[in-house]
Amino acid sequence: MTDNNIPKDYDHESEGEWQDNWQKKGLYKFIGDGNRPSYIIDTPPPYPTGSIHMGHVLNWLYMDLIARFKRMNGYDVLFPQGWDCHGLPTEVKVEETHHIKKSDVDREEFRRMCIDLTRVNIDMMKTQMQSLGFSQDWSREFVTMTPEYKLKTQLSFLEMYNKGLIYQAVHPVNWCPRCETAIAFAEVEYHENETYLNYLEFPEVDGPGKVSIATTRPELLSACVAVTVHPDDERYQDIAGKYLEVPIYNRKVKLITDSDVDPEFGTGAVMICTFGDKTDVSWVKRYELDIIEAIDEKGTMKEIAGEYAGCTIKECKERIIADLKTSELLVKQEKLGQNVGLCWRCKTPIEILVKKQWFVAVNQLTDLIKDTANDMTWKPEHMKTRLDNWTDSMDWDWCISRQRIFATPIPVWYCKECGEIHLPDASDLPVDPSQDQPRNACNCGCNDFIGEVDVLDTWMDSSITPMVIAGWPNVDYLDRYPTNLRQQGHDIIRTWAFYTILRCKILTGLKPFQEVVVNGMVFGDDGHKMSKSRGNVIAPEEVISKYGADALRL
Amino acid sequence: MHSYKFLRKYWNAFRFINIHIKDYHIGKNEKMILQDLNPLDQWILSKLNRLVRDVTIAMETYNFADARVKIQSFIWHDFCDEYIEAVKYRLYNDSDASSQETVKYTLRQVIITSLKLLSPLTPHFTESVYQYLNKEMVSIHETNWPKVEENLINEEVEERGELGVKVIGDIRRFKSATGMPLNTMLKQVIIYTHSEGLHLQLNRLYNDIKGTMRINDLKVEMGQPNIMEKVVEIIPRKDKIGPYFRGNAPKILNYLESHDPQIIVDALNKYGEILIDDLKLTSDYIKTRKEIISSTGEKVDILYSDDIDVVIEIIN
Repeated sequence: MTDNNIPKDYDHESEGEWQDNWQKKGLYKFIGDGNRPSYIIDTPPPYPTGSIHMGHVLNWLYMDLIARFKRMNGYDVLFPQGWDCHGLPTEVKVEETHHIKKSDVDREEFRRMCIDLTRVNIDMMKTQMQSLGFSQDWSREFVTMTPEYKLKTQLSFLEMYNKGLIYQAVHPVNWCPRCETAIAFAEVEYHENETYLNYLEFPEVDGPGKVSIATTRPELLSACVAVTVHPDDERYQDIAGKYLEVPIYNRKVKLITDSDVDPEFGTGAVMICTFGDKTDVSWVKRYELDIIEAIDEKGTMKEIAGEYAGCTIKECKERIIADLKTSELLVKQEKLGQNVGLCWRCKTPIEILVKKQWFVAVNQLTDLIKDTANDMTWKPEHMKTRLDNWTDSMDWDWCISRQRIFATPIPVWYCKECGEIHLPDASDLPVDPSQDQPRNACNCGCNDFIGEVDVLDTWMDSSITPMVIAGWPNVDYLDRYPTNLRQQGHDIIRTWAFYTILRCKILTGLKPFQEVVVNGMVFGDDGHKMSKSRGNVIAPEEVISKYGADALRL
Repeated sequence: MHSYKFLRKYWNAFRFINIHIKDYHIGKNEKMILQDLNPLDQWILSKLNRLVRDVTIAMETYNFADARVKIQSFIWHDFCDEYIEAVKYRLYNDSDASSQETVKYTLRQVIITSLKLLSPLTPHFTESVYQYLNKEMVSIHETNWPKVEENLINEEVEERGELGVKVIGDIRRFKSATGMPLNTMLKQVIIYTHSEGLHLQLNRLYNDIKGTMRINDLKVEMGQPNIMEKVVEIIPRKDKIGPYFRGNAPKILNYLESHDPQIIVDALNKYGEILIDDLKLTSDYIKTRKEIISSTGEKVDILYSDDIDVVIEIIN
């Protein structure tokens, strides 16, 4: 470097040259020969939306600072990068861009469109990341939609199935009518909403009495299976145990007592429908009530709804209220604030439908998860409390099956003859049961199988990253596992942190990482959290071209 | 953006330093150099090592904001604003060889170490600068993290350095407040203190204060300045004299112009009024301009310090 001609100003446009120089020198490669102590970072694989935002910049800056600091302190640092490709947003984007719905084209073709879009997005984001001077070892890049990775996801499915921790069952699940798929509780967002509390009268079947019930969901009358009150509620003690008639449908339902009823709410009498909400589910289970399916996958009313069949939920609600008013069965209406569960992707209100789905038996594992979490260092400490609280709140198992296309297929076949579940050998993976047939015959002798068409929740892919970057399932992965550092945002503690701890502990017997460092969100100039809806977002590329990556980093 | 300005400032400082240290190498006589260090060299090296210690802890505990603030503050204020300004005079060829060597050594240590501390945060910038300073084609990111030299961290050294920085700062502020270019030579400066401890420190800092502030004759003395306030000019309030004395106004003005201002003011203070012929004149009709003069009769400026027992007398 000539030192007689030092430029007058620091030239931030030459940053790109340094980035090339460093890549060529292999400064960030993980060596792994054991000559230096290793430091493994479990980098969160972002969803390839196509552009990096400030939240990414902050997250990656933290990891980059740690990686660089450790390298200078004599560690052999593994700072990998991965991409969490599967999921609804890409499917939605493909649908929008090509003006189709997923059911309009062949499955394989749809999948290919998703893959293409994702590839483009990954390239864009990779370039952006490199322009910030982050020091990942790109030779260790992983992409969840590749066959190599899908193999691992499916292998982990098989192993958990064989341990009896994955099962198939008919169970109420959270369902998004717009995305037409089951979603997990962690993907349900609660929002405040204003609605009406409707007071309806249910006449006694064999008597003169009437019970007033208050409900926000009169459209579910066709799915009403019981009415319930608190056992100590004096108003209803005479009529408890008797039968009432459901308005419009004239079905007979029993008035049962349960101490979970709140006598202060509405009239103190509630109708149990399949399903208004989670509490309905527990009552149905507790008293072994019938299940009536009134709503279908698309969010329209089924045959059982009588004259409202074929309507959307909204239409049915409006019409049924009008009709109840006319026949004077609707006694009054009150405004009420409530919390509504929405699909976190498309913000449509979710319904609870009964479906045959695949589940991970989380409920039995809550203590194990909390113990494993205790064994790690959390910074800041109170984030561990969030995880514990979430773990304690788990009363449903994790629903891992999805009715979409762009995801890792569930590696299961069903025998056409006897219906038995048939699994592939580990050596056959990866498989796509919707396309491939298994190698071996069924135990009953039949060689004809129906492939499972459901796919796996994306979190099944990304919840094994610590194992994958360490080299699992190669036996020597234990040299690099558990990883040293997991750095992530607080908004994905319920999902990424929770699922990773669960899956890795089950599959390896060890905690996935030593330390968890959780960071906050980025604030905009207006003092509020940066978010697109607020309009206070700054794009990283603008800052880089004007001032350079280093100024942005500082 | 604040960060952008910071990098520009650091770059400019580097350019200046590089002219002087580009051909300098730390040889085998490092031990000797360490014994020969100026008080301000010692001060900045103590602060540098303290910084290494603090930043290392901050990085290990993921307190990145803390690390950044500390590094920036050190580089911007302590290094650029104070140290580099203070040692410029030693870099010119007419200063003595050993002082030149120690200053170059110190500058090199500070810039290289601070670059390494900053390198995780601003990898591109620090690499750019490092490659100019180092001929070995090694990336800054392949070097070892700086080690703390505990024996260079010394509270007394820092206190002394702070004192020097403060005195230099006071004199520098005086120059800019009176419109002097900063490299103006000052004829004479006497620094007074009642404290023996401070007297000792100030004597150790003698060369730095003298050299940095370009003082021709610098003295450090126990006690306080022997000064008084002298009225050097009387400014008649024509807006009052005119209306009141009218026809006699010229007589008043004449008198005021032709007599010693100090005597007039002394008389006014003693008697409340003076008689010019039959006319009474009080202090309402005049304004005064005063100067501080030393025992030798020369005009001086006095700089007082709020928090330490130091008074600076400047005769120019």
